[in-house]
Amino acid sequence: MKRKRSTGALFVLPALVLLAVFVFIPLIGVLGLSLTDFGVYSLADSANLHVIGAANYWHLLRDREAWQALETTLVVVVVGVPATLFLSLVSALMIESIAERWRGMFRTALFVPVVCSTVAIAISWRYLLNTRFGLVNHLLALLGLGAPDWLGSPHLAILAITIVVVWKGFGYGMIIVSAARKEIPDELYDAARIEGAGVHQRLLRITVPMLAPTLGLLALLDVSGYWQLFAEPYVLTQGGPLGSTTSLLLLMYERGFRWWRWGAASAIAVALTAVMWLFAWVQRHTRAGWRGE
Amino acid sequence: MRSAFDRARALAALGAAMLACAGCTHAPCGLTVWAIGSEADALERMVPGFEASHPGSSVCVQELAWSSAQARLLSAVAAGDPPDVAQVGDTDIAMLVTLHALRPERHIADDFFPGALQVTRFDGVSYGVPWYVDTRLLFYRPDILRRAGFDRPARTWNGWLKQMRAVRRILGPGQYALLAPTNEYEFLEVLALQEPAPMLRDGDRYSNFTSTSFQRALSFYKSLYQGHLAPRVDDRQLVNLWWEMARGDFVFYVSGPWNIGEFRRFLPPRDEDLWMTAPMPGPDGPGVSIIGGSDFVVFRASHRVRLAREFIRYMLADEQQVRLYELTGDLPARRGVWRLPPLSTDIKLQAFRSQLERVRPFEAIPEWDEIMDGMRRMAARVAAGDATVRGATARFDRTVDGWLAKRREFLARSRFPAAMPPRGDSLGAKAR
Amino acid sequence: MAALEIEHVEKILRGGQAVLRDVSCSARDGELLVVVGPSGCGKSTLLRLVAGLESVTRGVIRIGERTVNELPPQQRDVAMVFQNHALYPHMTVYENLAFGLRVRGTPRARLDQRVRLVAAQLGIEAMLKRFPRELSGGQRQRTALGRAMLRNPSVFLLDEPLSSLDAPLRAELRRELAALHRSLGATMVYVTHDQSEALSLGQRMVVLAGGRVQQIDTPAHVFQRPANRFVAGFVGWPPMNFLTADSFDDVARVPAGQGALEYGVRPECFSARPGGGDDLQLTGRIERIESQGSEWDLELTHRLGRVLARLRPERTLEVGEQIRLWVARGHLHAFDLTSGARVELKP
Ligand SMILES: Nc1ncnc2c1ncn2[C@@H]1O[C@H](COP(=O)(O)OP(=O)(O)OP(=O)(O)O)[C@@H](O)[C@H]1O
Ligand SMILES: [Mg+2]
Repeated sequence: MKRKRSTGALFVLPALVLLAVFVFIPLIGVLGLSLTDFGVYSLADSANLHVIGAANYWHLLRDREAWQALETTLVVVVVGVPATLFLSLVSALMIESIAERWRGMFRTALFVPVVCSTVAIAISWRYLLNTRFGLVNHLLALLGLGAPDWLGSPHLAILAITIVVVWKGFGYGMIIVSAARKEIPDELYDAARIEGAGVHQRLLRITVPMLAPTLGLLALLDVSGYWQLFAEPYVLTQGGPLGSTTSLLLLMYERGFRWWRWGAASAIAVALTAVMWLFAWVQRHTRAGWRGE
Repeated sequence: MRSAFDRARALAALGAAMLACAGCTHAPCGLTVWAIGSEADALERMVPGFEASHPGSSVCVQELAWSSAQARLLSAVAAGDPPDVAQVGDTDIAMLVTLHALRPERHIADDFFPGALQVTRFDGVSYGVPWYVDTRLLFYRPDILRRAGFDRPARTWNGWLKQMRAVRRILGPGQYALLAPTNEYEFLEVLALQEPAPMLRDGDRYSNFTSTSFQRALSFYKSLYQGHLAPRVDDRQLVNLWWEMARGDFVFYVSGPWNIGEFRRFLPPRDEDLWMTAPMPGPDGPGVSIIGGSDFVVFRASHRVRLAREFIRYMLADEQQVRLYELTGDLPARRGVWRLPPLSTDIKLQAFRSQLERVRPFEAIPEWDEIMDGMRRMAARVAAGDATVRGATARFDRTVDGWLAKRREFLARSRFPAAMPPRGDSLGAKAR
Repeated sequence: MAALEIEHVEKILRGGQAVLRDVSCSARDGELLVVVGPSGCGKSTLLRLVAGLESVTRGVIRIGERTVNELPPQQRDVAMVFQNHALYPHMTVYENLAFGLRVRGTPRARLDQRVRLVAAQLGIEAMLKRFPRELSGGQRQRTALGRAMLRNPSVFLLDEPLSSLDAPLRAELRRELAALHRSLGATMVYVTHDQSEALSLGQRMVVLAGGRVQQIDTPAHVFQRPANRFVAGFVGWPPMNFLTADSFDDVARVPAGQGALEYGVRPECFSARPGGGDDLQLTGRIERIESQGSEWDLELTHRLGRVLARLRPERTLEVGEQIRLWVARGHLHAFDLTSGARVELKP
């Protein structure tokens, strides 16, 4: 028995070592850094390195830019995640109703943004959203609508970022939902038809609840992905206009890797991670469902 | 996919890889030189000439990207394994000096633009050799200006304002007198430097953005946007600003020397007369501008100082300075080179030549970039009407004082004062 | 309740494969009709056609007086229990049972009352809050049955409802089902591939093979007078032995008909002792002996092949021993060698 346990430990050891090297040690390092005022001057002379306790966190709490970044990030999460899930679900279900020979083409088309480089996508969208020459405003003009300044106005810029993020993200969910949809036995639909459920009833009472665990998983992935929003605003707007698209991660990047305030940046990183873990924990413990556990 | 720790991890891995690689590339190289972007390409082409004239020497040029150059230099220094020579953007020198990473420079030539030399000097000691320089001035449309009734751009803010208003009247909808992209801080920095009071005070220990000087500069800046003379766009919102300029969408454009090459690249030769350059106007006479560019630095850790200096000297010779201009459009840091063609013959360069004589150096401290970026964001708020000049500068003062806290502590403790020499030295200040 | 009539139904898939060919059969009002046939013969397809989940290529299906060919499933007034239950995994037993009523907008109080009544009838009241994955096979089956019962349909369609259960439970549920059928008085079509289940359950059975009806009759008749060689071989266990006339010791005594015949003898019809005078006699060597409790299964090789006999011998037998077996002429089935059709022998 004892021997068995040590053999087991041997098998998980590589994974543990990897976790330690790539997750725990950096995490503890970042946690430690966040309690100091580590920066360029500390690098020059270690006498300039102080442990300042939670000061970085207190600063964060009183930092307007941090609150704005939090708001920006939350907007993208709160608007973007449901939108992504909705589009993933709808596109997955709609693609099924397309004639088989076109299906692959549509699926690929919708999946392409997922595998494209974010930078390339952001650059294309910058052109699409150009106020004067962009395709988006051109189409709006055809509909007789105004020409909004997508990337120039703070409210629209965050919307534009959300649109780009969702557009890039939902194809992945679509593939996952498609696969999960195929797992639902046809008999369930047959049974429901015999029992008198129409198309909508079958969708709402069978398809959606059967996909719920998958959608829940996707929601977790999307929340954690969007919570770490970085590349889109970095390329599309550099966090502007007026800081309206500076996400928390972008703020952390700027403070850490542009202005070398590692202590302050680490505090943001720790806060980001803590919220993420909190979310995962809540998600785990509220996951109701027929798969039990 | 986008985790903060992934990024940190990637950086750490990169650092480790660099360490390993710095070690491995050192061995066969007589001299390791880090350069950035297109300058690295240019340098690579000039290296064979240097090697030919210095038998037995071999130079390895490693290319960095502008976005990560500072990070790589910083980690190399922190890891104790920097290159022998590096090209450093002149706002980045202060940080390396603060880290004691650089070797003081010897005299190489007498004819550097004084402003360029000054930003490499800390406590009277120079830590870099200016390689090429850059400044900001006006690009403009002479034909439209003439239609509005002016022969050439004004010398003073008031005159310039009058011209812009006049021009605005003859422009169509969606067209503006001035393009000054809101994602660049240099235009406002120029305006602020043109005022007498500096942006930092007490040896760069405290913020001075509430000075009347800065408030005047910011008010002028604000009036340009609020008066609809300039659009509040960042330059990435423009599809092709050279075409747009040629179409008459903008009459003035505050920008730097690389745009000479860009205009020529994007516009056909027959449009050459559609644009011209002129020095910056000032509050009450020809204005100063900023000085930028890159320097060569030699690292303290280098064992090949003699060869490094030979290399720098070679690259600063007339022939190489002209070659650099031809390859990249970078302006030579030595005045003497400007007497040679094509620099002497290109009329669009002449405004740069005279502007470079009238520059005022920035405060060379490690925080400068951050302060300027913060200033840009603060100014964008003011220009958008989200904040008043007075309120925004007061708040910004407090922010900057916070950023400088570490610096004050450092200066109080350290033997090594990384402060700028007094301003009186500056040629630019006298020129006004 | 209503009768079900299936007339000349044909189902040809899009690829041209014929799954059902000219199938006609009917279940009288209140009858339990068993459809039996080997795997893949089209039993499920037949039920799906009746339920309206698929459409017939040709033919007519009538429930009561109505021709339902064109009606969608929910209007056919049928309920179906699927081969693998098809319970909704994300709903509790209660919700599974209530689904149909809920979809049709039954008032809550009435729905609750009906669900509880049926659950009580099936003995699954205690399971109402559980999810299907938390049920045993039998409980799942009962739930599926309950779901069908709650529809209160004219016709129940049961597609191998017991196939996934172990033998004792299957027997128990089979009895319950028969009782249920009697108490509900409902018309049921019960599909199975297990001929013994078919024999024990139905009032009449339809033997299906290769998409065609082979025989429709009561279990006793199907067993005693199989309509063709296939039915003879399929119904009854162990399966019938097929022999040619010269397998027997005295060929001349084997009754002949028109054309070449094949003879069938069920293993249990052999006897180790001569009976009447015109019994046929077959000699063989014992290859294998297998005890079935009070009886023994013997595998013999005779002149032309092998036969299986189920006997109650009076003495111990040994492998390798020569033995003589007798068959009463009345127990001899005869089939046309080419068509396989049953041939009646003259006494
Ligand atoms: N959708 C389909 N596509 C192709 N072939 C099909 C389809 N549905 C049924 N078949 C074929 O029709 C025949 C009858 O199928 P069916 O499911 O009715 O058999 P079954 O008698 O119910 O078999 P089992 O006892 O194994 O359930 C099979 O040969 C099957 O391969
Ligand atoms: Mg079947």
